[in-house]
Amino acid sequence: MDMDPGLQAFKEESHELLGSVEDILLQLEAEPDNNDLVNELFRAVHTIKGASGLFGFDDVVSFTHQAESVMGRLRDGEIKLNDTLTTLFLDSRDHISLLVDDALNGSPGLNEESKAKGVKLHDDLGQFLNNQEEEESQIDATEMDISNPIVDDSKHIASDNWHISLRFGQDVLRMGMDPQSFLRYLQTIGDIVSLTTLYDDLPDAHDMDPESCYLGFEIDLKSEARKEDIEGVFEFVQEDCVIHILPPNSHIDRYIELIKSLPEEDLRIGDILTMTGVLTKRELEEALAVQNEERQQDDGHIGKEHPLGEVVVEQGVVETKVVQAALDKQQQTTVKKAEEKQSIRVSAEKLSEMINLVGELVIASANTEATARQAEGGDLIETTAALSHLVEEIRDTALNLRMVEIGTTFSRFRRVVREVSRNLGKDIDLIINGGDTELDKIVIDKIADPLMHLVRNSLDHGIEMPEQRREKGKPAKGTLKLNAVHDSGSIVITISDDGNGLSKEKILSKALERGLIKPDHNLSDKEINKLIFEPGFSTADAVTDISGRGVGMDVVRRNIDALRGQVDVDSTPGAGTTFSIRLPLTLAIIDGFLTRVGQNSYVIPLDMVDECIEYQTDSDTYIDSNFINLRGEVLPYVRLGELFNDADIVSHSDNKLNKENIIVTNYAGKKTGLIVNELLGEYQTVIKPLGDVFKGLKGISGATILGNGEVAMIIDVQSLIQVAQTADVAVH
Amino acid sequence: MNITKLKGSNKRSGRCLLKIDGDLTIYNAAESHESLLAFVDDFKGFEVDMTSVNEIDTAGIQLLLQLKRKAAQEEQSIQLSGCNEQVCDLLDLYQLQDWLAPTATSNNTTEGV
Amino acid sequence: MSKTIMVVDDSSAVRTVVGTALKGAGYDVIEACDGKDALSKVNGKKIHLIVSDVNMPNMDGITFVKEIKKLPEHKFVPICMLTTESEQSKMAEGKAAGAKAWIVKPFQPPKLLDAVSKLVMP
Repeated sequence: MDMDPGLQAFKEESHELLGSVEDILLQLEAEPDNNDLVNELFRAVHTIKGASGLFGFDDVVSFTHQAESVMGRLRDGEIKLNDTLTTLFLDSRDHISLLVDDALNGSPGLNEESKAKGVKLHDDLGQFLNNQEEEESQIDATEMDISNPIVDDSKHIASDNWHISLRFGQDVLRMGMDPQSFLRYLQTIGDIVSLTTLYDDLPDAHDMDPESCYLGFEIDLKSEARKEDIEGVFEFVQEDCVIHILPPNSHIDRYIELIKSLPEEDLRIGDILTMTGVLTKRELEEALAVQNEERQQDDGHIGKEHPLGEVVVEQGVVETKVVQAALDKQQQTTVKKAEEKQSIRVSAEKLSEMINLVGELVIASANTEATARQAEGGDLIETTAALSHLVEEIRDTALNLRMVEIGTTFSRFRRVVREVSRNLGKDIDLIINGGDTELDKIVIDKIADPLMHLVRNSLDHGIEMPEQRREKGKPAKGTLKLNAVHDSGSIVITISDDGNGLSKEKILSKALERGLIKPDHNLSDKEINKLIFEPGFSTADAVTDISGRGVGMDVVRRNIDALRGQVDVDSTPGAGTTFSIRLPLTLAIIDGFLTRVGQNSYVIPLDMVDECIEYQTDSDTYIDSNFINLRGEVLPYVRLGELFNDADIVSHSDNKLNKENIIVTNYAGKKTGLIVNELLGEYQTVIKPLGDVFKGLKGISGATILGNGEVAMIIDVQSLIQVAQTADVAVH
Repeated sequence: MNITKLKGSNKRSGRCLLKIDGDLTIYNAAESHESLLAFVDDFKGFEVDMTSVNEIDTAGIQLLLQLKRKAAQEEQSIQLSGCNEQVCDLLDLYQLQDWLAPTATSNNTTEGV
Repeated sequence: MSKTIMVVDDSSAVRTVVGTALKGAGYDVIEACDGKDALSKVNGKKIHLIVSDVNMPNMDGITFVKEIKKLPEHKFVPICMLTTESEQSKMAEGKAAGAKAWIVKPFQPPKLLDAVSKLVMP
């Protein structure tokens, strides 16, 4: 589908930002005092709002605005993040995501349920904007953000306009800086709701210098701009001017401070503020009354050296410094962030195309090298070797482009763990390790669902309720661990919980009930555990909302199989369950070992090849037709030719004229020998997936085209062994 | 730049009719200031014909503010007439539109005649 | 009536880029290649803003500012200096001479337009 490039950018950007909103919120739960995170949160939502406005997505703008306003108060330290607010923000984030999708789909409108939810969220957010006294009474004054040292538990101003007080320096006119220029510029970033020109400082007509400026302005500005932007308007005159900028909904103390710090009489400024609607009369009276009270108390206090005015000014100075320091810090982190995030966006399609071409390049290069070797041209061999070395590097780099850290996928589960545990009344900690482990984006995308299922399974069925855990002498808080690590060309992801473990009895009885096993089957613990991956198997007593959606573990296994991966389960009754998933790092290219069986070529993934040895039935190593003795170790083996019913080979298999070799493969710690005729050496190969017709084919994961145009099958060692075993069972 | 007192100015009533020719900007602020001083001293209320004022800036507004202050002290008014677009624009920005003659506000009506 | 901006810089590339940007925004532009050239071109013209480089041959930016401030018909013109980080010391000198607005190079045209429109709307 073709999309306007602007919209496409918006789609990607908003998606990314909403993702980070979630991450930030969850991270903030752990570090609620991290101001950088709060700023980032605000910026993300602000950016979404801004961009939505560009496209006229009014629904997105109005809802986002509400959320942003609350986040703004959070950023200004006026409210504090608690559990309720985090949940509200998370729900709001989901709603914004719905609204964005709706807008991108041409605004067909949300369904009734979502609409109602939106209205409720909007109201709930509003609680944090209007019902401030109530909210703030919960705030412990000592926990306030340090950038607001004089803010106490009293009131905020309802006005959502910025208030700007300007007193221009006398020289501005002489310097060509006419105040009107700045005010006109101000109009480009917001609406001047009201403006009062103050000329109280204008001296008597005879005493005035007509080239000096004596004017001041009190301005109410309605604007979405940031404070820096508003300050920026006056950047060229800030040295000579007194500029106060109060953000919308500022604390009333800020206004008192403002009134005090301006040269005009307190009442004069107070009047202007009430006249323009910034303060209500009542707010002003209350504020001034509080002020007077404090003054009296101070006067009564013996030994008090400074009159209150000075104290306030001093506090103001301290505050400016603190704010400045905070701003500087923020700026530094922004700069750093910008440097870190220098990246360009490339469509996945283009990348796939390139990787495909690189694949062809690898083949062509291998072909060239082979031809050169055949021709025995010394110089040619040398140059082609250099060439293929470069091609190899290009291949690695190209594949690396698609490598993504798995951390993003992992951190998505923070939200799941938070919500599911809350719904179930459980207390569960999520510990993530190896988030920086990289693997192919395609694999990551495909593994997300199976992972989700396993995580939910652990949350739902694995970890017990707090009371049960206490009874068993475990900590009430359960732990779920997600871990990722590279292991010989694969990535191993483990999901482990410290819950109840799998119940052998339950699995067995269920398996019997479903006819998966016969009563006389004698199964090992591992085999019993593996039964949960059989189709139609579910041990949960009750189907719950969370993992019992009719999708069983068999689907998880099938998904992982499709990625050439393997899933294993290990469980200790009463102590917990660990699922481990082993996946290839990429699905595109593998280093292979090229072999020949009769007329056919096969490629065995090099990662899995341990060694190659000569096979002789008459040597000491020979045990029987299924095993050999590999340095004292019993090694099961299969004949590839037999397995694939290669008539050619079967007929010659007993013929000792045919030289045979064993390739010892190692997959997940299990060694198996594969008997082939010829060893042709290492071979980089691009996996061409087999068509749908061959989907059911076991033991083969794909095909590749050799330099000479011949097709070679790529062996899927894991499933090949399974096939061999079944064949074996069937025979016996 | 030239500021002239028009016929009809009345020292007894304190009403002064002025006409300003040319610009009222920082470049001639000193000169304008000089000319205005006499009128600020001698009169209480001001009606200024701005027809021939091409350009005004904040320095010019400040001079008019001297007239305004004097008028306010004497409970009289300042009225500007014949303002061009540029002048109106700046009065608008500074929220001083009530100086404009046609839209004189209610507390100025007593001196309207 | 559009406002007139004088651009003073010895680099013709800078003059072109800045000039094009300003013209695009609706200003009239007068170009000069140094302070001396600029002074010879200001006569009889109403100029609303001067954008000037600091380091120029013949007459540098600071001297130019001082000279302009001596001319009755131009002494109140706002001046915006283009400077580099390494010329920080010049900034104090320039400000004392009457150039209050400074833009640090390198800058993109939008940044310049932003600064210029704070001083003079098109």
